[in-house]
Amino acid sequence: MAITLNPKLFAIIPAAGVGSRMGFETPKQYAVIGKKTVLEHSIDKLLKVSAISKIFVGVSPDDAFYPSLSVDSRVQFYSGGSERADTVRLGLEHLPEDSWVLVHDAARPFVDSSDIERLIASCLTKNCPGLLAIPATDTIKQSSDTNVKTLDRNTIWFAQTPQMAPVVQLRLALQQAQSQSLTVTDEASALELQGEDPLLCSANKSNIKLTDSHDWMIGQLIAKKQGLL
Amino acid sequence: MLRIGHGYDVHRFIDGNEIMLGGIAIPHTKTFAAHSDGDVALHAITDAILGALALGDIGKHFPDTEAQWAGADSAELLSAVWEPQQVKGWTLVNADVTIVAQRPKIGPHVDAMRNKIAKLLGSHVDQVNVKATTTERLGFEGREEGVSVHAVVLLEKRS
Repeated sequence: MAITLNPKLFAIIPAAGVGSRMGFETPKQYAVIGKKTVLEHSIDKLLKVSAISKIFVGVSPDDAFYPSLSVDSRVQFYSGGSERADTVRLGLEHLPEDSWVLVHDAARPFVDSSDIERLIASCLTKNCPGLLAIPATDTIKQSSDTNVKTLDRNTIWFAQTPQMAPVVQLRLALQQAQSQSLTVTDEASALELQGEDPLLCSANKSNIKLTDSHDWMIGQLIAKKQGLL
Repeated sequence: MLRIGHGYDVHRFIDGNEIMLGGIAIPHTKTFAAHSDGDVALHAITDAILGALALGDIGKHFPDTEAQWAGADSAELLSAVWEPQQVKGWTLVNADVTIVAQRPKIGPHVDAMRNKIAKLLGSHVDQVNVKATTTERLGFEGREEGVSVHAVVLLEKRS
């Protein structure tokens, strides 16, 4: 799908986490799948989308690994913050006010580039923020101390990334969330607090986030299918 | 740090013309009734690794009900389990695999299996043993209804 872009489009990958609770000897974005690190695979997927002019990767100031990555000239590293939202906010400072941004998890290396292109096309056509997500297929239960109820799964989606928004709008939303000490776990939730209704763009199931041991095993099978090994 | 794990698996025979065992195709008058290629030896090794690392078992990660893994062969599943552990710094000290089968004869295929398993585990062939026993015609293996495999692995991570 060829997208003619006006205004410009950028991507941010917050990768400043230094935790290695998965037991890897490096932060998980630097764990290797096949021939490359998880972060490089994620960057590669965004690079395939020609509409993205530049990818800003937010790394920890203490990060000793990123200088050894060989990356495209469309990739630029910057110093991130302590929390994901801080790293995204710092990344937004590099972007022109009239542009759009896609924020993508470093730990989602299996995202389908054509899903990203569909998301971009939908957001620009409807002039609205949006994100990749998967409609729920399981029956979903909600439990509290006193009762359990079944939610209407037709209304439930699992949020993924990339998440796309106009730079100015996302900047304001993250600032407001921070000033009100509201915890946001993704960019879309900050926008929702501003009364926005981000578009949910159905994505490939392979776009898993590598979190626990199970994800890394499934990730090997997906990597093989995608020819990344 | 050292961790030890044990795996055990059984597969039932149905009519066929070869079995996959230890990553090797062996001509036989039967095959395994299974979701995948039915390689009961690789399944036992996979379970032994998962056991050593307290990660459950193969059915927990790749349930039979998930159609998306139906085409994945046993070597692929073993690699999927082992590769991330290697990235985390685990190496194989040794693996010992016992195949319990009345027939087919396993002996002629033992070295090929050791080579294949060593390759999958990123180790030297000297670190992998495969041995076979019959059950003196006792039990389901003795009646040639199926094959069982026990696997023990010792894993090491240097800190």
